[in-house]
Amino acid sequence: MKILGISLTMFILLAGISFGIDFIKGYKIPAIKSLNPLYVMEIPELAIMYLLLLFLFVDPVLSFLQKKRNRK
Amino acid sequence: MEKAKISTSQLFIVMILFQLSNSLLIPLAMRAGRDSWLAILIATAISIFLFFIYRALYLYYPSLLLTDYTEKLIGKVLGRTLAFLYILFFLYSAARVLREFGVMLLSFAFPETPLFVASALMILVVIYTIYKGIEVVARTGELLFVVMLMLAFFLFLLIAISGLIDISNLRPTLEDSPKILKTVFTETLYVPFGEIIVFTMIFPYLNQAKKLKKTAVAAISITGVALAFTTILNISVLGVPLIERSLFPLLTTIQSIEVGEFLERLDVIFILALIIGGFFKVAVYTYCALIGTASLFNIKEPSKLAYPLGITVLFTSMVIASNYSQHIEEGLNAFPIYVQLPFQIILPVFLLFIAFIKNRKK
Repeated sequence: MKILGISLTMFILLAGISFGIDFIKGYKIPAIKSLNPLYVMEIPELAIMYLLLLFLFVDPVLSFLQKKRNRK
Repeated sequence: MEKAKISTSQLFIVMILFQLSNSLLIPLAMRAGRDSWLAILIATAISIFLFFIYRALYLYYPSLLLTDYTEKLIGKVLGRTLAFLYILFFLYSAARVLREFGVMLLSFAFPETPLFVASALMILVVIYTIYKGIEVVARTGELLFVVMLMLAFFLFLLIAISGLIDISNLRPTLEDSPKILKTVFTETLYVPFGEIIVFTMIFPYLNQAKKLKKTAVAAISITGVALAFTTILNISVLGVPLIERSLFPLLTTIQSIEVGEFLERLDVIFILALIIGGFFKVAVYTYCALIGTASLFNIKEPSKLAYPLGITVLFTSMVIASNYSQHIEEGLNAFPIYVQLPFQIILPVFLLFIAFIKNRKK
């Protein structure tokens, strides 16, 4: 979970940097416009995206189950 | 830090592939117009001095990564914060390169494929490579470097045969000298030459530290000459106005090749060479962010970070800009000055100054 927390924090900060640069360049409503590529996704793309996100949790869940087994 | 070693020849190849990658793709130093090749050569010379700054830092702490010795130099809190900022810088740069290559693939080869899918496929390969470690990255480089060299050789041969080169497009030279210097210091010095800051995370893996200077200077010089030559080729084939309007000048140059009225649309083949470079740049940036994160947050198995960081890069590449024009605009006018200048020049000089003062007595 520590790794996921670090990655999530990094993503939020990176998105912040990206929006900051948009802001410096004077783009209007930068945060909403920058998310355009995510809004226009079709169902197959969304499926791939959710699948990739789902795989993020495979390793933490497996290691949690292994720890649980070891305790027993 | 991973227990691995790479040879000087491997470092040489990785440095060349890393620097060439997106620099071949995007219009480089085009603010200098016809003299962009001169701007590239001047930036190459200055970047050798930059390399000496990075090398001097490495020589003070030969077994430590950049993200480790910042803590030793400026204290725990500030040092760790700076190390974290460097990791973010590496990830952000990786995301920028990924976006560029994703858009390039869509524009030239897969117009119906969504950007997310093209980028996801590329990042999955990168994730697998960095999961295996730096030795695999370096060995892959050795293998792919030959392919890239062969493709480059055939490209120049085909352009020469097809009679597209018009040297008069390069004249007059040195039309506006201050503009050349302005381009060097606002653009070309940071992309691709200043980006070698990332190798401060790889130098500790070198098995023959004594050969570092020769290897890196040779790699930087060869890259500079290769990029200047490519720019000369682009200008002499397309002319400045067309390059300024083109998103990917080298591919436009390749598209104009026509040999014997049957050898046409070769850009699809040469995309392979560009993809090799792009893959390397994203892999090296993400790998350096991975080892930096592992050392900063004390993660025992760094390879477990490969997938989450890869996905972070993928999603950042999607939200980095609403469209490609905005992405390039930011890459030319905001990213070099507000991000690359501090991280590639100001902070390393500051760190070297502190390292010098701290190690004076030794």
